[in-house]
Amino acid sequence: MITKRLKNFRIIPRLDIKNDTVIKGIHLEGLRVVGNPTELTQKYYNEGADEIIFMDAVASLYERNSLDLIVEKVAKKLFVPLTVGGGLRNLGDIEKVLRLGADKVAINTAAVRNPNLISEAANRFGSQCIVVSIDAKKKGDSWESYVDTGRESTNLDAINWAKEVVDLGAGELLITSIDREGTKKGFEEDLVEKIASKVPIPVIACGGAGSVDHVSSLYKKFPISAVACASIFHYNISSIADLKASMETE
Amino acid sequence: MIAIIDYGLSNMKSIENVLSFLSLDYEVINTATDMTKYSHVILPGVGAFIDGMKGLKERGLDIVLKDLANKGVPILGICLGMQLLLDKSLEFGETKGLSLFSGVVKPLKFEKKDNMYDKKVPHIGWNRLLKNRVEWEGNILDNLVGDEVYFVHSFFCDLYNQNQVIANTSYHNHMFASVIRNKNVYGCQFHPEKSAKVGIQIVENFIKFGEKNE
Amino acid sequence: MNKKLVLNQNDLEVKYGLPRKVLFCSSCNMTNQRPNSTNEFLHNKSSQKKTIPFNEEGRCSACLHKEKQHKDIDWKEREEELNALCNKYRSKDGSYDCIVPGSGGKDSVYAAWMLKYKYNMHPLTVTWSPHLYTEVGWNNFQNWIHKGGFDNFLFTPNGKTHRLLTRLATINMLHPFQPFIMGQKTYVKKMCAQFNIPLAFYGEMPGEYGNITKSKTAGERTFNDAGHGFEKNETDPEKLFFGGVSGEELIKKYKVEKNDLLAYTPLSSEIEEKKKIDVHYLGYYLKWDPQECYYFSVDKIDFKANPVRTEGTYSKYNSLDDKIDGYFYYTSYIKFGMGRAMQDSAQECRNQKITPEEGRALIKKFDGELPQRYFNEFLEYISMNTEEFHDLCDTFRSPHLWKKESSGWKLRHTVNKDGVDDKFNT
Repeated sequence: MITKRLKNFRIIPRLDIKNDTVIKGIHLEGLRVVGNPTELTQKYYNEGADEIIFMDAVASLYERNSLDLIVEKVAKKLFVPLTVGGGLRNLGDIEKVLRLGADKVAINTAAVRNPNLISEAANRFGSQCIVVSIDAKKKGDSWESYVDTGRESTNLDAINWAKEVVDLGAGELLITSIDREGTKKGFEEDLVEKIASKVPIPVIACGGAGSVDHVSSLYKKFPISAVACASIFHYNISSIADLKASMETE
Repeated sequence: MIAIIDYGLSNMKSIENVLSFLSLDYEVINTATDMTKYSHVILPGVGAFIDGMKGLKERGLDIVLKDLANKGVPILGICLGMQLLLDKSLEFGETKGLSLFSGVVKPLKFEKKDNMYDKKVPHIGWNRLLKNRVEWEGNILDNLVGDEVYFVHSFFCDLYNQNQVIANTSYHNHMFASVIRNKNVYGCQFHPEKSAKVGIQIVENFIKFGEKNE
Repeated sequence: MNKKLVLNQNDLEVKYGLPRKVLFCSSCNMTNQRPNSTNEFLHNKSSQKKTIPFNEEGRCSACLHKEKQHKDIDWKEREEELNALCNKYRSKDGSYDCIVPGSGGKDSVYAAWMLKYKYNMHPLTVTWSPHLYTEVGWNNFQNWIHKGGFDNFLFTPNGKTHRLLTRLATINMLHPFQPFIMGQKTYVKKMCAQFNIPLAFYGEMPGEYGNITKSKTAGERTFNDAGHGFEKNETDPEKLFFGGVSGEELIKKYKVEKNDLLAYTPLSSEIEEKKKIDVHYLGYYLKWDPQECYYFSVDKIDFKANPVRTEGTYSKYNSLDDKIDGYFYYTSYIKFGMGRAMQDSAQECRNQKITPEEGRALIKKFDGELPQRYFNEFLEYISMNTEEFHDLCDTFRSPHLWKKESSGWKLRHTVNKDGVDDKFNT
């Protein structure tokens, strides 16, 4: 049976990877092992994932990029788009991972430290390859952008930064709510709403999906182009098919 | 033997992976060379039209492609590769293309609704192929197990001859050509190499039916 | 040239009775300069340290203990022992039947929860207040009580005395955390005595961190346990040391009242025996995984890790509730070359969450970082300025560990072999 695809809405399993394991933290903290990257990727692809995201969970901790082998291996048999992020610091890193088989790259820390990297990368590889990832934590009435896998604060307002990266040439935005991620308590809808309707490029919401209702709620309410989910899939709470089925009726 | 054209812009890996998966032999061509051993040619591409044409011209590949088209060799342009087959693009001023199809490449543009960006550009995601005038049997879209494929683009092709449009796709009520054909030359606006089973079938079909010249 | 240097190495002063040769555990990167728990009541300026032992293969006792734990222990059997223990003490009328010390940190959440909801005990949680509560620490503490559903006694020591002792401990031993450690350690048994609740449960076994437990029977903490910190049955504050100063001197010279020192004084062994106080480690009976305790506590009480990386280390969920905390680790780095990243990563190595190689990368990146966030508050608390503090630290740097170069103080030996003397292979 062929998998169903939803109109203008992608379901993207997100795999945070450490060495050769998939891990899942809460609030971007903790490295509990939940599976094997190649096995999980294959599983999600077979179940109808619209795309896959790989994030290197520890690249910035250990100052190394170790996803290369996994990306190369997985890309050979994965025929939906693969986005790879985590520890990509410069054009060379981006080029390398694209050559290994990634279709898009996600950058966060490097973009914050050097915003020009976004435009340079967009010029060299095309905007559609460049996903800017923003990890946002509630601060007062707004959100602050964090880097280094949620370890360092930046004093950058996440909403303003999101608008800025659009002008710099980002093709897509990946917005992760640090307060919700790993909790399975639902997306941070305020955050999603503030960004999704204010930028002209596609936005992928991430952080907090714990049930079918969480996802369909976003689908109904906001011009969100995709959701990136981890816990809900890695802990076998809902399947990709379940999610799509519940939204087909919308 | 299939030729994949490398003109400095695109990542060939994804196409290579599909062809390997289908156990098809291929070689990557990045310069004007004797093309007689190649039965099919794939022109992939992501990026800007102007860079694409520059990349082809610098390598003499624009002439090679026009030559192959004349000789009846099946050519498949993917995404930017499809857009380059047209007369010209309106991306930054006007840039001339390969003119293997009559038509113009135009930007996707949408208005805000209630001051909200509800229609996003680039068009990224899965979307349906809709039949247009032509039956898909015995064609590049023959016997597909599904009709949804993966798009990522900010421009679309506006063809003068609608009979060359095999499939259309609608994005926020804007209809554009998603699969085009002019005899032995084909274009897919989407990425078959990233469209799971349906995409793999399309590539297979191109290899199977590409030579048919009606 | 090298010969001369070797001679010089042997001439270097070694403070605190630390081992002259600096070694690092091959499994967890911990330095052999790490002291075992000290008897804080005798702890003064001239105290000599007993350090964690390494075996011939260069592995530390904590790793060996943990390895043994992974292999030899029958956890089913241990759980049965726990059940027996609980059955023995469980109250029949719903009154409190055990004391659980804790702070609302991830480990105490796990301990209290398991005892109350899985083993059906009736715990009374007791907390010895941090010097200066952090916001996240206070919130976790409140959530522990309000969302976890536990009764709790919070003891806060006389702030004036506590500040004075902290300052003295810093000046005399570069050990700002000492008064807290003393208070926290003595508190549990005193609460047991006060409430006539003989049973108390600590969390993780101290053997986890390399202190040799001399417990005569399983899980029990005996009075003479080195990890307990007492070696003589002395309860007269005048005869003990606080902050490196004798109680007698504190009373005479610093105008501290005898009563002000009660918070830090241990319970007498007579009372302890009379009341049959029985202290155990839950970590002896249940397999302890600190990272899993984090996940557990987020799930159960909405535990919040530090919003940003804890300075001096890489993690966000360890030891969050005291603003002074970071300076405990920093001074430990000064005295022993052992910072917070080394300690945190060593624990994760032992729990097989990271490899020793990864631990070394983390140590290289974060160890010894001076925490900035609460630095001014800390200095104010101990009534010092920045210069005084750094000068004080410098007097505690053992020459066999530190070398002063033009660009500042540098470790002679590091686990990454990039210490200033490492290239000479001495």
